[in-house]
Amino acid sequence: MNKVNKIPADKVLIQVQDLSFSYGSVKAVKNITMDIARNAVTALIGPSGCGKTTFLRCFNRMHDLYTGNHYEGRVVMEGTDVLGKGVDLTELRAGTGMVFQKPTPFPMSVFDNVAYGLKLKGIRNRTELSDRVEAVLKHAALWEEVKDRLKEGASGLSGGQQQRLVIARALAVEPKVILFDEPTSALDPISTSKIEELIFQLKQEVTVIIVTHNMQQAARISDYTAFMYVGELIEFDETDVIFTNPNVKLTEEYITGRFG
Amino acid sequence: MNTLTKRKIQNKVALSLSVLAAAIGLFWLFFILWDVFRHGLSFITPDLFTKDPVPPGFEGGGLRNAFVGQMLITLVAMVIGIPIGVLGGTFLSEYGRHSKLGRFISTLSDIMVSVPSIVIGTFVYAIMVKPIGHFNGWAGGVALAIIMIPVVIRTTEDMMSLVPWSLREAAFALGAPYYKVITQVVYRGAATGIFTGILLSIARVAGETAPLLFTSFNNSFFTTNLNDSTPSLTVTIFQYAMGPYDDWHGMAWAAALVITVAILFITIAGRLLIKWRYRS
Repeated sequence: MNKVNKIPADKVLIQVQDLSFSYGSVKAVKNITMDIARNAVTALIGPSGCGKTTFLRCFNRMHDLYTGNHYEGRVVMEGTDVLGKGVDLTELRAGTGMVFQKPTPFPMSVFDNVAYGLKLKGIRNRTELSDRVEAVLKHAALWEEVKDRLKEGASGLSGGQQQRLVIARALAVEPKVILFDEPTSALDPISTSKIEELIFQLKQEVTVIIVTHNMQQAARISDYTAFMYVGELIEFDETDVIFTNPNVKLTEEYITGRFG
Repeated sequence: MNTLTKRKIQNKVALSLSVLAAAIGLFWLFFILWDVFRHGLSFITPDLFTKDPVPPGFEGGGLRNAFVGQMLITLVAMVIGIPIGVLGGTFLSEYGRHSKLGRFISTLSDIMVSVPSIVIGTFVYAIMVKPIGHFNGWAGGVALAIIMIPVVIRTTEDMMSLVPWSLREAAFALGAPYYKVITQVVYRGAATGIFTGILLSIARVAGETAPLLFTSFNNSFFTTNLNDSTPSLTVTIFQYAMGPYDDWHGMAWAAALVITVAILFITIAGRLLIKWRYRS
């Protein structure tokens, strides 16, 4: 296994140390050790069932919602192990946005969707709310499309707009990390490129970890790429290296479409 | 005969049978509606709603007492039944999803739906009438609430389970605690369905007679005092229809018409709501 660690220590936001995760007795993530760089996009690639989504969901401990799951190892973010016992999950998740495969707008208005996380944080002031909603919608390049329908139900937006709305909702609470779980696999090419562009810009203020099945997408938007296979981290390196000159044969075979 | 012709014939037979079955069901429904309208409509007068019953042999009078009593008893049932039903359904859909206790309660609640309502009437008689020594409106309300609860539990649980898990996860991912996920996201997503379930459960209990016979019984006088026997439309219909006087029969028809129309209205409102919800 290749554990290339070229990321300089001062650029590291999260250190994954010997992380394993099991659903009951099934070990889905096996002894992963890697660093996640601050203000960069890290892509997780690999064939279906390789554990990349499972791995992603360890960062905000989504697995804790279900019983019978078990973590081993550490995920250290800014000095604290997020898998530790005393960690406040609400706080952890509020600082770690997540965007899912299918858009998940809440059954409320466009405005209320974006304001949701802010209200959770206790922001009640109307002007502050609307200022921040507007700013974040502009940031997500959605403002022009929705500024006249802020009061309308979010379910009326198109799939791509919904996905950008959900990204805006995650951005609104100013998280340190945003986790993307195949955010464009349910979208058309135009919406996909808008979201890719957005993710690419996002890294100026947040750290992005993205699971994707789309090789070109990983190549286009990510700075680092991790290739996973049956729960193991096979190779992790700068995206350019992974895609042009991988060290492991398995990586090369996957990238070139010989399996998976 | 080739397979295709055979399939087409099978299809036609199945279709005819199901249309026939639907027609038979609808026939009786419309027959009943028509009969109730035919007999009851001429007795619908302002007096029916504004006057109380007069002693047998006297002309006139109405059923104001029964309308008011019915509303009071139903109101008591709603105040008890809706919160318990909605909270119970919430528990089953959210907290008790994979627990043995949850499954046990869910099964129990389903059995409760099919318990004969007269059994519930006698049960409430035993705990709320016998110990007190006289019939009372509260007992009627409680009996109706007991019938309502499993209906509301079932619809609430079903409607909340329809809200996709990804939506809950998205709310959790923003750092929402579970109670906020439920009240702000899941309830919103399931609101129309839950509300419809509540409406249908009201319609279900508003037409019950048996559970009231042993509990609130009946009263020929106007009363808002639920500590005493309280009149209701259904028990009044029962008594008037059995009575020997023609104008009693007429008023029973009128009351039957009013309650049928009211329940029909509530049910249709519930259905329209679902339709409106799923169109938008």
